[in-house]
Amino acid sequence: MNIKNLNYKISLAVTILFFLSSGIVYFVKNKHYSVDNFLNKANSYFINENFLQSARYYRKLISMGFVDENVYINISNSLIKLGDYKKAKDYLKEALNNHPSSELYYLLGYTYYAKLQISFLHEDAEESIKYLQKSIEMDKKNKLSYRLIGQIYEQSKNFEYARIWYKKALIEHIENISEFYGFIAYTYFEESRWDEAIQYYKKAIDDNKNYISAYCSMGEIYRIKKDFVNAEQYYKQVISINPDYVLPYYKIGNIYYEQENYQEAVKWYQKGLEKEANNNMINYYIGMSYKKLNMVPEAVRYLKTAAYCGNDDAVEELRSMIKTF
Amino acid sequence: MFYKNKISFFIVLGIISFILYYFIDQQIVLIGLLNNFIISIGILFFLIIFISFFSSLIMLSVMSAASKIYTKITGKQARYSKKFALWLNFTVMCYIVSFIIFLQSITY
Repeated sequence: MNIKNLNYKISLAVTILFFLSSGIVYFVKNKHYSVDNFLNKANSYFINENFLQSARYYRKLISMGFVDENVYINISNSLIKLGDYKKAKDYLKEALNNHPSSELYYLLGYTYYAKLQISFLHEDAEESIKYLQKSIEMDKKNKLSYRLIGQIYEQSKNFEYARIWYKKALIEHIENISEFYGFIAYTYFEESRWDEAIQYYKKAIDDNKNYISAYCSMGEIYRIKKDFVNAEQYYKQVISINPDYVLPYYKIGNIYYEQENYQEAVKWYQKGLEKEANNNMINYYIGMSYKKLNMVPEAVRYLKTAAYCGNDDAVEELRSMIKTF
Repeated sequence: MFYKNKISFFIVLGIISFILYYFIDQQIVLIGLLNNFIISIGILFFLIIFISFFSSLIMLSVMSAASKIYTKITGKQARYSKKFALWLNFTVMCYIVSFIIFLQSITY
């Protein structure tokens, strides 16, 4: 390449002109961008769950030098929803360098937890726990961090460690202790340790008389233990708190179904269908109850509905009924 | 001839692709395979070449048609090298396409 060559000079001049004009255009465009306008747009997109757009505007804000903890929190949340865990981590670590906080450490732990759901890597679990512990060190009442650590241990079936962290949360007198009694009870439930589970669900209910999930779990435990009277009692308690919740009707129906009291089972399933007509499980069990009562047309009617609503067992049942009849 | 040394032009185009990748990455969240910057720059590089090449072919056909009309009207033969014209169109289109992509990537 000879620099005195005219062709080369023209080529170089055009290239330099290209870069210069691009730079000028970039500078002029950026002058007209307003931080407030972008912040409003970013927040609006974030609230409306348009995470692609919100991430775009938050990144622009950061590149414009707008350093705010909420921006880093929101962009990280947006990137987590989009599945870009690496960038979410990078922004959180950048934010932590500027202004460490319990919430940012929690979010970083949550990012590794979200990644863990698809990677199943032990390293991600360890990193998540590490940052969640730092979050707790900075704020001992950060209940979200305790909960997430517990969930990580629950996922790896290490229920004892999960309970240790839930109990630590209780020691710190965090808000909503009934929730954590419920979490502890759940770990015992998963280990089929019914008596301990009942003990903690009762503590949860003592603290929060409207803890529907605890009543449902108690009902389920008593059903498993074949104590149908207590099981029904707890499910009826749920109905008294929230009459529109479909599950207790279904569960009471199942209790009677198990006891082969199909007439009573149908009554409770029908109450459930009043709340949710297209519940595939309720339709299936009503169908099966009518089949046990030798009321075939009614059985077929409900099994068909269950099949339309996606119940595979209902499809199989209808097929076998067609072969039989 | 504009950029007689073709390799030097493609090096410049590579640098432009690299800069464009930075601005595109700021605009949109590149996930999956596009998260890898070498792959993304490669895709961008070949995309610019592809669009520019086909645009320059179209421009060359327009030039050929125009030169035939010129010959018919004036009776004079238009003298130009098709190879030179194609290369010139191609390099100009590369700059234009790159600039358009740049404009899009900095517009909010």
